[in-house]
Amino acid sequence: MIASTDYQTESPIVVERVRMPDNPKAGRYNASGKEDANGSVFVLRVGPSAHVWAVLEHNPKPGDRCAMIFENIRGTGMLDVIMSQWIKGGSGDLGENFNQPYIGEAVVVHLARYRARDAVKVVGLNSSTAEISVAAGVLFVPGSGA
Amino acid sequence: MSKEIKSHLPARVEHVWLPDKMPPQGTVASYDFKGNPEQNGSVTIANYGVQFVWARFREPVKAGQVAMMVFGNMLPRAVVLDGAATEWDMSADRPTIGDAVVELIAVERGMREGRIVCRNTHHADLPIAAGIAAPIDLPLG
Repeated sequence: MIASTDYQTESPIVVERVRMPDNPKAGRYNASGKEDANGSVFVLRVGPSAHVWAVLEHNPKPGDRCAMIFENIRGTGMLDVIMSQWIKGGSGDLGENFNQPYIGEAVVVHLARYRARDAVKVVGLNSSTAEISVAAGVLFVPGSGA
Repeated sequence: MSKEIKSHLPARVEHVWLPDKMPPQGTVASYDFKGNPEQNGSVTIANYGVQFVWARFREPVKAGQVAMMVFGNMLPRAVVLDGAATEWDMSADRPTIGDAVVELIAVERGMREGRIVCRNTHHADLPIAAGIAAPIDLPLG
């Protein structure tokens, strides 16, 4: 029998979660779903749909996987999601004072999307050689239950 | 004496510039990579409520190669977009599903641009197109 105490592990996945307001208006919210001028959740409304970006508080390091869980997205319907590099900024809405998604040298690999009742999880990987800011996005129609 | 140089197949990076004006609702139109209308152009846009865009890589993606397509001139609204990458039937000028698997690596968004990253996992070079679906032309709610 070969016994070993060696135990190899990858760096732990960074998992964060945010709670969506019931019927979000365009604006900025904190992770609890309260309106907050410095919150990490940005909502854009286009017609009946809500486009939500949630910025990860902890920047994934090179090779790190990261996940964002969106809670209170009603139903179990299939949804569109995305994960992108992000430029963190000061106060202001999406696109003001930075606070915007970004396409640069780093590629944020899309690893997985999960759906549970009233929740969505997006998983990505920082494939670059630098620590970067990342945000996950989801598109849904509030009140549709799908 | 030897000088060994190890190199991976470099990624292919292409850009397309979307037209300023989308085709009318319910229609499909073809453009070149600069956004000019062109019959059988490399960019096809279908406008059905949201806009569905296919952009064909101008040369076949080599076996094992990573390829990136950057979509420019999107409206400066950071809407979430959906992405795809698929084998392309050059004779019929449409997406196709064959034996090859085109791996979708990343779907990313900037303020005025989107990017699709994919890999040709097949053992032969392939015509490939990257696609996005996004509400580019809808009013803010």
